[in-house]
Amino acid sequence: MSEIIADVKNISKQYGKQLALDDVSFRIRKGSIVGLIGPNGAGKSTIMKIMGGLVFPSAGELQLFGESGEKGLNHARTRSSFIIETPYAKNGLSARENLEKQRLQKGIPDKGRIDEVLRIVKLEDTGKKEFKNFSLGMKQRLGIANALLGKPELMVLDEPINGLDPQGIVEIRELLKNLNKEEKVTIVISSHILSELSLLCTDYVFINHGKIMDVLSAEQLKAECSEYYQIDTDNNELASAILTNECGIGKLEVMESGGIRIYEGLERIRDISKALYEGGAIPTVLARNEANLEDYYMKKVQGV
Amino acid sequence: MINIIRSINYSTRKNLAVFIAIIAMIGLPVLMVGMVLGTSLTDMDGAEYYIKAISEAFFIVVFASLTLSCIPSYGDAGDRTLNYEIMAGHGRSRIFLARMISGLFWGVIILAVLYYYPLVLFGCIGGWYKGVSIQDVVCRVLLSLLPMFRISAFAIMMSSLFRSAGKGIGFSFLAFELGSMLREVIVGLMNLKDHEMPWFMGMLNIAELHHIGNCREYVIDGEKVTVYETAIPPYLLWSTVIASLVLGTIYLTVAYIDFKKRDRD
Repeated sequence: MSEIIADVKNISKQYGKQLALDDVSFRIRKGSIVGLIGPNGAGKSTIMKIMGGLVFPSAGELQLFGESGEKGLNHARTRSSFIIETPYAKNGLSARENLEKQRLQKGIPDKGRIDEVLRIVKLEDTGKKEFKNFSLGMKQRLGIANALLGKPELMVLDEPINGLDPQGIVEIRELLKNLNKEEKVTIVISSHILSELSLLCTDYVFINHGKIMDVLSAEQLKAECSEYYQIDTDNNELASAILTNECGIGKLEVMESGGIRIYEGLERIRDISKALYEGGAIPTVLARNEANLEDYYMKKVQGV
Repeated sequence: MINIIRSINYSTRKNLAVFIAIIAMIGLPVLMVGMVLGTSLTDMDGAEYYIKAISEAFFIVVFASLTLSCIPSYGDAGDRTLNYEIMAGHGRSRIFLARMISGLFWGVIILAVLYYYPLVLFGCIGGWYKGVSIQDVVCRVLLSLLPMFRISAFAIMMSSLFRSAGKGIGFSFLAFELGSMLREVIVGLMNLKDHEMPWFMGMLNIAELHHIGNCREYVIDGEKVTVYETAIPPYLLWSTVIASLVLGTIYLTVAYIDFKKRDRD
């Protein structure tokens, strides 16, 4: 069994009367890329803040690298890096100066590391441009550069691709994949761009209203996400009746957005198509699909 | 902890408000001597600067004190770069200690150097007038480090509670002004003399410590000499020591508890 890097045990967090986290438990395996998925206000950032030591849990226990308690967690955090909510930086300083401040704070002796991480995130040519004049994408890149500065074993990234252009998203995805593969960095990442997470993550934690809805691996998700045919006809009401009564399809879904999804009898699609045509519901779309992370999220978290 | 102090000092040195405060303090003698006293810089000696000018620009000094205390200690709170220190695994107690040391270093030591360097400068240019005891002035200067500590500790507490150096400076200045007004009102209503003030109201400002009210004229060897009464009265010494140390410690304790216990959302 893989080494457990982070163990979140029955953690709750109360802000006044509001329960932000309710008995949350999950584990993060070494070498995994864990997607933390949930709507705004679900508690994702609170979990990350507790991991980073910014927020104290009201109940429960956190272990990082097998260490717990204030001293143990502080020691474990020296092996980690965090971007939480937005990449923090000093407005009046350049990218290099901001990283120099963090290099001093972390006690990293190698000054050349700043050039390395600036090159990695492609900010080496920003010169004396101050952080306040950076675009959102540049700010995100600087946040990632800062996170890479201390060569962490665990990276906790809250919306790291927010504000990046499509090329930037691909670059950061490849960078994170490489770090995970080459440097064996464990990554916890939250994002609203679920398609990106599905290209990156090995594990998923679904959270809503401060509660864990589901924890599963990419393989388990694939198994959960069954294949289906998306059918659209000129008369979907009639088509639905034909599919049920004549074709014997029991597992189908009439979508609010239009069209019908059938989850069984996929191998008989020629016969089904013929039955629809002959029954007077002319098929206009017949597409084989696989339910993805987005569909699973909608089902699990939004109940759609 | 040393790493945090080095990091704080790095960004403090590059801070515009700190730069302005330092320039203002360096330029203060020119402002005081040239514009307020109307004397030529080359005609001024160290003792004369102490008697006539040192307590006059007090508001600039307080403002510089607040700026130099708040920005190193909690200038990183507003933009949340302080959070990186927690997330990097530094203990909160160590972070607080590093920030307190930085705030006090800039707000007391650096400020004292900037505030009192004209005494040395004019002492070198024009000498030292014999009617002012240099030993007493040195004692007053050293004693003034305590109220500077108190002001600095208060500013550190305010910026910690408000999590912003800007708010810390603003609200500290407001509190300072209200405190001074309250003191005037109490003195007026109760007709109190300086030595009758309650200890905690003693030495609200450094200006009082440097205010030399009385002098006498003597003729020594046929020369008329004005001798200033610069010895520190005991009530002033004790109220300064007690008020500064007790209240300064309380302010820093409040700031520490707040920093140690409160979530940093």
